[in-house]
Order: sequence, then structure tokens, then C-alpha cells
Amino acid sequence: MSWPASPAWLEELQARFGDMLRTPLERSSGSLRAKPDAYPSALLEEALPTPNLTSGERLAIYNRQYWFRLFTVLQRAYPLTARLLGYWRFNEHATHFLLARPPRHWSLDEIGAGFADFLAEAAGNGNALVDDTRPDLEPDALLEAARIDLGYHQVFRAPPVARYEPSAADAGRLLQARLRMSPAVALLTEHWPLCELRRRALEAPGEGALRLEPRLARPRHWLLGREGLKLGLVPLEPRELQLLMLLSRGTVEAALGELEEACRSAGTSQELVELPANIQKWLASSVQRGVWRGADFAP
Amino acid sequence: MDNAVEARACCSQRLLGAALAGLLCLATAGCSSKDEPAKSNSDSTPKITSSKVVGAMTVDDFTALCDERGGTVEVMPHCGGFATAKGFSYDSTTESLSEHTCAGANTCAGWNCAIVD
Repeated sequence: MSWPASPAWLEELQARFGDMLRTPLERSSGSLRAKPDAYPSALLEEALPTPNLTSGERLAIYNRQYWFRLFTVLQRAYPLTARLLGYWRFNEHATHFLLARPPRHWSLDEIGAGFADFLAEAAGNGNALVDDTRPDLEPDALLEAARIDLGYHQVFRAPPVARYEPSAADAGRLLQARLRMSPAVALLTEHWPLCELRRRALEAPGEGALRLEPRLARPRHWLLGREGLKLGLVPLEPRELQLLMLLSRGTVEAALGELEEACRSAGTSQELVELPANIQKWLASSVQRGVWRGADFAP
Repeated sequence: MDNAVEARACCSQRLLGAALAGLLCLATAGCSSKDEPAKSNSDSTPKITSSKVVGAMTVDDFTALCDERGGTVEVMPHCGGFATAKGFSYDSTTESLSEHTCAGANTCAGWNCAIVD
């Protein structure tokens, strides 16, 4: 189906209106305020005033709602990140992100997809993610929190997926196959007790910034999965996590070879001795937990 | 180069066998979350009830195991779908011994022990 070309005047009006919507809200006063004087002058002339509101004030209603809606969606997608940073600072990062990557998908929930990467890029470019007033909040912890939030968001939103249970008929070619990971699971690693903090933040919503608890003695690894609408974490051993990550990137035999080499390089002979039994246990459990949704077999 | 030779180049036989046993485990009644009764010999769906890596095994070793259970040794000429009855099979590529409940459940190179009730 083809649509008739839009009149040029309508396209121009919509472009000016879009520019107005995306005009960032002013923060210098300590609250978020619209700046009508920054709107396109042609649009200010086209929008008619009412007895009570100027054209700029009328347009500002749309401008504020655009940002407030997007902030709310992003805060809900990244609840731990938002609470760690505090909403004021979080909204500042969200503004930069949404200016760089305005929403383009039909689903508003999609706007959060690139936010964790955006924060990581900003940190990599030397931008301060955290205020000086927050010495407790290490930037790496914030980035980890954003990745954890993203994992939860993606797993919750994933479509229903039937788990892949390899059959005996697959056996002869399974080692050369590449397993496809289900979108309804995520592999998470935390160096701070962030998953627990996220749960507490959701149970006790509030406006205040959360304090980050001390760094863990050693990182913890989790498989985040879903049963119906309920999400749950299953602890993973470090090598188990490594295996699942390797399997998601290459063939089964390539993953096994790399894992065996990693164990050999680590120089712990006991780990090598126990590896076959562990591999069997971890893979059986991965199938049972629905980590895989299929396999790509070599032609 | 066939798959088995490629696999040997990547890592140990025990590891490959363990991986296969692990991945196939859920297709089995033994570790599935589904409570499925054991299927009869006429069931065409392959079911493996347990699988473990046992290391190298000769045909004599396997025959002795099969004799203990009153079964008949079958040599498996190809991957999948050969076993003629329930029993257990040894995959010489992965050095794993698997119990299965029905016909057609063997994996690749090795032997099958068909046990007829």
C-alpha cells in the first residue's frame, strides 16, 4: 500500500513540532522547566494563544509531557540505576541519552535498550557518571547496576519461548552445533550485592538515593530466568557461567575446548579432573532451566 | 575429516562425552521435569534415561555387561535410530554409556545392548 505524499507545509510543521518536543528542559533552577524561547520561532507564530496561555506556554505542555513520560519509562526500566543515582542525576543522564538516541520504535518500552551501553560509553569518554557528593557509589557499580536492570527488563519482555531439549537424533551433530540462547534468560555478574538491592528497592519504592553496600569478597554469578510472569535468580559457578557464555558464542566443541584450556591455564589439576562431571551437570541443568531455545547445526 | 576426529582435536573424549550426556539428559525421563512413564518398546520416540562417561570400553567389556542383563549386543553402524529395543548403548566416540527405553535411541559409533522383556 502506498500513501500519498504529505503536503510540504505539514511535513515542515511536524518537523518543527518534533524539534520543540525534544528541546531539553532547563535544570539550572533546580527543577525541570520548559524554555519556550528556545522553540522554533515559526512554530511559536503558528501555535495560537488562548486567553490564559501564550503560544509558548501551550507548546510547553507538550514539551514537558514528552520528557516526563520518557523519564518515567526509563526509570521503570532501570529502577536500581535510578535509585542508586537519585532521580535528579538519573534524569540528567536520561536527557543526554534521549537527545542522542530519540525514540524511534513503536513500543515506548524499547527506549531503554541502549541506555546501559550509553552510560558505559559516557564513562569511557571520561564523563562523570556520579556526583562528587557520592563517594560511596563507584562508577563501575553503577554500570553493573545498569546491566543488571537491562537483563531484568529484557527477560521480562521476552516473548514466550519453548525450551530446547536435544533429542537422541541430534546427538551425532550436537557437538558441532551452536546453541541459541533463549531471550527469556540472562547471565548476570555482580561485584556488589546489587540484585538484592534491586529487590529491596522495588519492595520499598521511594525518592531517596540508595546507598551502595560494600564490594563483595568475590563476584557472584546468576542465571536470571522466568516462569510465567515471575523472574528468579539461580546461582552459577564461575566456570558454569563461562561455559554458558562460550556456548552462546561458538559451537559446543569449541566452547568445551576453550573451557578446558582455561582450566588448564589456571593450573588447578583438581578442576580438570572434575571438569567432565561438572560439564555434564551444568549442561543438563542448562537444558532443564530453559537456557536454550534451539541449535544451529552445521550444514 | 569426520566429526569424531574434529571433536578429538578440540578436547578430551571424556569432556565431549560428558557434554553430550549433559545436553541429552533432559530428553530423558530420568531428569526431565515432566513425569513421563517409561515408554514401551513400540514407542518410536527415543528416550535416554541416564548417561554417564565411563571411559574406554572394549567390545568384550560391553558384551560382558550385556550378558549380565540377558541382552543382545548390536553393532551400531550409524548415528541415531538403529537400536532395535530398549537397553543400553556405549558410544565409543564419547566413551559414554547410556540407558534408553526404546528402539532408535542409540547415538553414534559403538554398541547397543538390546534387552527384550
